[in-house]
Amino acid sequence: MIGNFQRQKSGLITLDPRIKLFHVVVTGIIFFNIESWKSMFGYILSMVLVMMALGVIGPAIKYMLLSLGLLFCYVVLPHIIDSQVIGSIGTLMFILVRFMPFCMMGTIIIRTVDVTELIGALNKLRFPRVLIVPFAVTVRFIPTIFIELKIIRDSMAIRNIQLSFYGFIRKPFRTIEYLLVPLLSRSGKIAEELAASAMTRAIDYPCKKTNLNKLYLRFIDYVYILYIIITGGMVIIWD
Amino acid sequence: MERINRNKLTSKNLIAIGIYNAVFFALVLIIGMIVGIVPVFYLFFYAIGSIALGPVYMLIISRSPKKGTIVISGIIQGLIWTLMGLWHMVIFTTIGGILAEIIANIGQYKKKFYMVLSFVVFILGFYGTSFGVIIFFSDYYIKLSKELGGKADYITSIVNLVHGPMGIVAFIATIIGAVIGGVFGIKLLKKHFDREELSYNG
Repeated sequence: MIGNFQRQKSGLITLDPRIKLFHVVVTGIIFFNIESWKSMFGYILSMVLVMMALGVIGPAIKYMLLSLGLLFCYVVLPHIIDSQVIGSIGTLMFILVRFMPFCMMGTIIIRTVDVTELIGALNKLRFPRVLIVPFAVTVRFIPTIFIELKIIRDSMAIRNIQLSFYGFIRKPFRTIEYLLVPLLSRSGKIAEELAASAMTRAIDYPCKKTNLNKLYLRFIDYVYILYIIITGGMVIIWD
Repeated sequence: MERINRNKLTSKNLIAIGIYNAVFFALVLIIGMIVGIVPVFYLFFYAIGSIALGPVYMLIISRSPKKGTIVISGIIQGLIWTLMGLWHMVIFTTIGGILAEIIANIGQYKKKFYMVLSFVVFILGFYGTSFGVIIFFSDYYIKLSKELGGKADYITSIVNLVHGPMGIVAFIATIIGAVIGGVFGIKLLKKHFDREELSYNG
């Protein structure tokens, strides 16, 4: 789901993270404004190109094939088989296609923006410190939480406590307690250690913090903004 | 040396908020994967999920019982979903967070009744997002069914179900689930985490 937040440096271009956040907003606006499958597919194509240029090639191909398959269900299949069920399934598939740009945007951000860059971007956007610190911690630790959960499941298996759907139905509270209490006490320990580590690195010192990644808009960023606006506009006008 | 203001959020509090919100988000994802298999269950997502989310919420507040904790949590949850692409979520979670904060503040982050109530409001903020999407989609669904002619009666019936009794049932179920989750959370906290509490409030 959420991989490790490490930047891939293999892409053709690197972009300012603020521009990527702008792209998220544009994607949201487009989601609410277009209806036909043709313009939807056009927008997905434009995002596949962006993903390719950024060096996220594997997922780009996957999303491409997936949306082609889903659109096949929506556009072609009802003409071949004339039945009510197929029609409804096709429509459901098309709704999945509409969520595709969101997933692609998420993949782009997760694969190409690392936490330091994100903090830098939020700093530049004048987010308050009380929000940046917990947000950075949250984003950084979501993968760790999944690792912890796996460890807890393993140690439950060692103690011969079965974790199954049936068990969850029969004793929901007890199952949740078994899972949640170790997880929460583990994350409490992590929080304590992290706080100590951050304090030794002067998180409380009231000065302006600098960032390793210098953020400024380059030529390629302006090209990207133009690209987003032109493709978005064309898709909406076409619709 | 400056006097430490005990009502202000320290970095220790902020980090604790961050970590427990990571747990909260991870749990939402896992429950979503389990519940999302059946589409109709999606409406009851937070009714089921809040049993697991309640303890986390209560722990966040017990680790940092200060002004701003819940609002920050709400905004962070929304921001993560923004990163995943669903940026409209941040509006609902922030509103839910602010209301929940006010309620918890009335109870001084201690009284059980207010804590449970604030958890219900917080969860309803999340429920609002999925509800908003459904309302938006229903116009879209109906348009599609007109395009398809008689083929899509099935879909219109689902939309009617969501708008009619099912939506109300899901709303009430969410409230009941959140109450159960909140009470369960407080109980779990008393049983397992009460001893550690003092070390965090400094």
